[in-house]
Amino acid sequence: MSEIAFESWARPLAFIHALSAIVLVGALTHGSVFLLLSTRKAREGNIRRAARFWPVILPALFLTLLSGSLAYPTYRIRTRAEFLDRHHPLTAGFFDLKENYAAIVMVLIIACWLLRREPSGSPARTFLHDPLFHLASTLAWVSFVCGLWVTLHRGIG
Amino acid sequence: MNEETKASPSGNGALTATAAAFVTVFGFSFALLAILPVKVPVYVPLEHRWQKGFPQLPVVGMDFYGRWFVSFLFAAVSALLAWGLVRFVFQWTPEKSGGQSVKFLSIYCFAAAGLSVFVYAYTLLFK
Repeated sequence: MSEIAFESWARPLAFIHALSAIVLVGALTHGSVFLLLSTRKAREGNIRRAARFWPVILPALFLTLLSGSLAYPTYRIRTRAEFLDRHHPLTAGFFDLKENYAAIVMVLIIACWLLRREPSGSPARTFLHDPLFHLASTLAWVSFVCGLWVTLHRGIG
Repeated sequence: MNEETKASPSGNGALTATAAAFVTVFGFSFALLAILPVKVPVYVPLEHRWQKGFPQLPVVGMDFYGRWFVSFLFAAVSALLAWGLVRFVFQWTPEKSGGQSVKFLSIYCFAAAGLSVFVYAYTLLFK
């Protein structure tokens, strides 16, 4: 048995984590753009286009969080405790920021999913669904860039 | 009318309140758990065990799972409560208030999410 849970799987898990995060950020960004477009023209059509990303967003979110959570203990010991805390403490802070923002993104996405069938122009869509979706998209980008920044200093394992 | 634009009028208010309660409670509790000395379940990776609160140094503990779980649990219970109250007790719909109530719910949501975003950025990068 390895000293740290899932240590022997950490690299493949981190790889899956990165790939699914790319898919998630891409899908959220596209959805966000279509929702922005829906405020200007072809309202129903663009809302339908944004909604088409739900079958991508939910599995990508699940996979990103699951693979990240399983690889996290290895990162915490091998990457952070043994290297980042000693040489790049601010970068370790960026990782913590990313994980916590990812948790907020998950909640925002669940809330948006609950509101996904609200009709266009309804208060729930105008004041809740669309702004929460844009916030989720922005925070997902922040998390993604922070993760990339950490990996540039030292990857997992 | 397609599936995405179809909404049952009686379901609108309940789902709106559920989503708003979920985000608001999670945001506030997640932020508070970062700044208040509350003991959450902490995972100790080198010893493969969980404990309440951080272990003594130099043992490494991970509180993220615990903070997330506690906040998520609070948020899920609050969301279910909000859904039940709005659906079966108040039978509120956003149209009744001309959208004003949804604006207030939105303010709570963004205040909570914004507080979490600020607290974590401040405590992790600037403190």
